[in-house]
This record gives sequence, C-alpha cells and structure tokens, in this order.
Amino acid sequence: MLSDHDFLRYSRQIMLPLCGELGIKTLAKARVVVIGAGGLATVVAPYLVGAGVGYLRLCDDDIVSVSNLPRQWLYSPAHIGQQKVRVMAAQLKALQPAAQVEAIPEYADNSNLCRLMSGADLVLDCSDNMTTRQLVNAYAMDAGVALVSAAAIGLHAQAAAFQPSLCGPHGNHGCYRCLYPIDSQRAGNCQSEGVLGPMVGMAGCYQAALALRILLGDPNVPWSQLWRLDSTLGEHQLLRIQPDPSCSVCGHVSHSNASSDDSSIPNSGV
Amino acid sequence: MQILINQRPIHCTSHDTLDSVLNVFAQGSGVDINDIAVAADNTVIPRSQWATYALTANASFSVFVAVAGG
Repeated sequence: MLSDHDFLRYSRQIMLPLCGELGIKTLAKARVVVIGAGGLATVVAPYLVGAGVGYLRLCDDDIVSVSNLPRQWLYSPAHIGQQKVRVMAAQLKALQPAAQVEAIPEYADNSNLCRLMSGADLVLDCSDNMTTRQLVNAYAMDAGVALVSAAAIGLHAQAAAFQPSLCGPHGNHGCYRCLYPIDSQRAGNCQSEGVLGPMVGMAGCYQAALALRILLGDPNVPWSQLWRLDSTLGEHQLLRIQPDPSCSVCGHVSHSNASSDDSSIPNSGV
Repeated sequence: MQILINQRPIHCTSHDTLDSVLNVFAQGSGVDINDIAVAADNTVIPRSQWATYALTANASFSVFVAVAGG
C-alpha cells in the first residue's frame, strides 16, 4: 500500500489504467541503465525519476561544457567543468530523494558494457555516436535486456524500442543493427552536424514514454518500430524494423549464449 | 518505369535494383550510402536485400539518414 505522500505525488499516474497503484510499486523496483549523460539523458532521466523509477545508473565520462547549455538544461553555467553524471545524479536526487542514482564516470565500451548493464531491467541508449550505439545494441541483445534507443541531429529525431526475445529470424523483429548495419559514421552527431535543442527534447520525451510503458508492462509497446520525425518537412513516420537474416547481432545467435567471431558481438561473460 | 523516392519521381529500367537506384540517389544527395536506410510500405528493407529487391512501377520508398546524436 502506498503512503499518503506517494499517493498524492503520483496521483496523476495512478489514474492511468496502465499504471495504477501497482504500477507505482513496479516502477519503484525498476532498475534502468542510461548510457550517455547529454541532451537525451537530461530529458529522459528526470521523467523516469519523477515518475517513480527507483534506480538509475548514469554512465558517461563527459564534463559539462558551455555548448551543452542550450539543450541540456539539467546543467547550468555553474556546472561547467564538472562531471556530467555527478551533476545529474545530484539534480535527480533533488527531484526525487527516494530514488537511488548511481553515477558512473565512464564512457561505455567493450571493456565495461557488461558491467554497466548488469542487473538492468532496461537500457536506454542516450549516447552520441554510432560506434557506442552498435555496442549497446549488441550487449543488450546478448544480455536479453530491453533497449530503447533514441537520437537527434539537426531537425531530425529518431527512436525505437527493442526486445531481444522478439528479435532475430524466429521473432520476426529486427534489432538496431538490422536498421543500421554500420559500425561508424563520419557525420551524424551533434558535434559535427549541429542540432536544434527541441529535437533532442522530443526524442528524449518519446524515449521516456517508451521506457515507462515497457517498465509498466504495456502490452502494446511498438517493439522494433522506428519513430522518425523530420521537422524540415513536418512529417513523422512509424516504420517496422524487420529482422535482417544476415544481421551479425541477432541474425544467427541465440540471446542467452551468443558467441561469434564478429567483433560487434560481445563475448559471453565479458 | 517510374518509382518514387521521398515523393520525388525517379526513372529507372528493369535492370535497375534498389541497390543501384539508392547509389545514384545517395550520390545526388551528397550522403554516404552506408549511412542511409530505406523503407517501403512502412517497413524498413534490410540492407542485405537491397541488391535483390524487385522494383515495381510506382513503388514508393522513404530514404533517410541514420541519426546518432544525442
């Protein structure tokens, strides 16, 4: 049974059939890993903690710089030069003191992703480059942890949710690599191409909504469907990502005991 | 034969494949073909199927670039 304080605090969510009182308890037990502490994470993390998610692990080794301030509004000029994850953790604790927020000042890579994802119910890819995105997808698929990936650049935003147990030729759903089978990208990030702040915000909001729906057990989560918003044309699409039989991540391995010579696949037990 | 890419008409022959058409489109648009994805009927077409995907008259494709910023 919820306390009077929590009942009041979460009353607008409790009203939703998707949530109810049970949903608040479910969110309080949820463990979410956030890869990246930039524009997406500064939107997603407050929404999750605000909604009552009990545990967040923030992973990034970046520091706050002046060029972050137009869109990463958990950070202020006083934070310039400080570790993003530590500033964000403090801000989130102020928002919801009951939340556990773990700040890990490390960039996600092959050496630490297994550890960073351990115990996670859900992974949120809020990173800013294709190399990390492919690694996060591969490790999430290998670990069987649901993934919500979001991204923004210029006037474009994209996001999709992936459930490893549904991905691959037997599940009829594609993974992130089925969508973009590339390991790196010359362009495509905010540093090289620029971004309008609200595009990151919209991608982050969509990502947060997907995350909460997944954690609450929504049976209608649009798994492996790419939401893309093109603000230059004022159009958006929801596109089904079908499995690529030749996908090096989900095309020919089981999710629980993946093993491959392909460097994009994490080794089991790393 | 005419197809549509991002709602613009593109003329192609029966010898063209989705792969070849996208190559020309990418070059004309100044984007790296490795960075694009393509969808038809609200479904993304896996890259491994581009070379064998059958083009039909008036087929409509959405082509977009991978977004990785955040």
